[in-house]
Amino acid sequence: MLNLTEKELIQNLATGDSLAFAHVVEVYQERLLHFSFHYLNNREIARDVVQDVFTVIWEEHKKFHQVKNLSSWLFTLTKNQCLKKIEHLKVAQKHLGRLQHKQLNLSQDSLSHLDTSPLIFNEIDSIFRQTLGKLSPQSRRIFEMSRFENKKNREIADELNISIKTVEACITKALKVLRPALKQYLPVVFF
Amino acid sequence: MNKEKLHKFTLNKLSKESEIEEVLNWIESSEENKQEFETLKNLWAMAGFANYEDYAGKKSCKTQKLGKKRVIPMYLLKYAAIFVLAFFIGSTSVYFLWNKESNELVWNEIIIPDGESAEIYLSDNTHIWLNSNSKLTYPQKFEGKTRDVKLSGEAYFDVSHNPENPFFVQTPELTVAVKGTSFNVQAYNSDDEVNVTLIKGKVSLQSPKGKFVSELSPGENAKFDLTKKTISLSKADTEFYTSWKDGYLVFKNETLEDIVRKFERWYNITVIFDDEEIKQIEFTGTIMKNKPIDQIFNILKYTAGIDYSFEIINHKPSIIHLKKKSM
Repeated sequence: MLNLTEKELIQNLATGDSLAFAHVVEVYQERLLHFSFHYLNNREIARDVVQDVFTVIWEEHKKFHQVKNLSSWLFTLTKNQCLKKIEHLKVAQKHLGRLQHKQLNLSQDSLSHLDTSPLIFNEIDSIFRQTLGKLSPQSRRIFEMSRFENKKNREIADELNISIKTVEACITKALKVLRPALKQYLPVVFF
Repeated sequence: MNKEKLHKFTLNKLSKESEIEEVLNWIESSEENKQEFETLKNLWAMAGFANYEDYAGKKSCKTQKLGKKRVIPMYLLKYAAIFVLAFFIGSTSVYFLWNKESNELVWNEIIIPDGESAEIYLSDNTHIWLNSNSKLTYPQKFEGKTRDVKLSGEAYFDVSHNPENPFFVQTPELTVAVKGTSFNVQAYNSDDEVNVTLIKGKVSLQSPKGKFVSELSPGENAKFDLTKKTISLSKADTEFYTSWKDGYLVFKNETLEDIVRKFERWYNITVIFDDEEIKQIEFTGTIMKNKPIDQIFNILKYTAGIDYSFEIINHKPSIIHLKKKSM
């Protein structure tokens, strides 16, 4: 693991440093996969998308000079790549089932309303800290495990020796608290 | 509308078509419902957002020397999907069945030849990735108190959780006992060690007779020396041991000799060192599995001053000679 600040890392990326690149892959790969899978509901396609994102940032590393927020940049690229993929799937796979087609449409709508601007990445930490502070330490721990460590509910339950129902309840509760806090960033449907 | 169903749908966890249909109908029945869904969907995505420093800090801190390194810049893979773990059952594996005398379990055997890999699910929903040159023997259906499988070669296990029926992976010299977790086992007959790497959960290691040897914590690797019969535990970079299952190989300061051994299995080739001294050159980098072999050796050529030549057998490069590049 490289011990660099975000700024240093971005500078190294801009010069095409492959170690810095490998480090970014290491830190973000899982999370971007998780994100893509959330909207695409297909692991292979999600992998393709993330692979494409890393290919793009490697090939266009000179653009990193303009990047201010690495997370925002990567999630925005992934979001756009997912949208492109959905568009492509809808055209290329005519044989797609009716249900799959509907699900893709829903993902497309949700995703296009998703804010991945640097603003949200900069604010979200303080929002999380403030809101999650209202929860019990255990609930907070459970939520963080699911949020950052990509753990399944079952694994969290095993690790903390509690029932899976408790885990689910805690996560639902955390989301309920977060929702009003994140309200201004959540999608608004325009008529 | 049952909130739990909506929740599960949002997380891609509904599998029954009838239930998916039900949720879809609900979402489509009004704009409010659709917005409710979108909010929930995006809320989940946003819950995973954080700035770089938070992410980097949350990963277990692995220190790594930043000395002089040779890096194989192989990340750029425009035309190749990284996940090509096709299911090669028909053409590459041999199935046969026999009855075990003691009970009526029907055992299956799957053999993965060099240059291939495969992914299978067992009857208890345990997910297994098998690497090249490996063999797994498992019952068609698990019955009785324990779930037993036999392995030679390398496999990654994602064992479905069931504390009542522990899962045993038997290799000739070492047995891995688990309740439900993810781990990698490397036990090639040709190697002089067995490697067990735990990703999450808990596993215990036993002798073939069932005597307790040791226990592993997540992120740890156990190396069992087959000649000395000793075991050593260490903190491991789990990606190093498990990346093969996702179609790539990670090397961290590994010698060419060790790397080449992996290539041999992966590509079904034989590599001969014409110069002994190049065996010890160390590499760090990532290699995608579905790259043509000559591209990989080309990179060695340009980054490390190593020349190669192919001997073609059956229209395929089969024996590869490596030597120092002549000046």
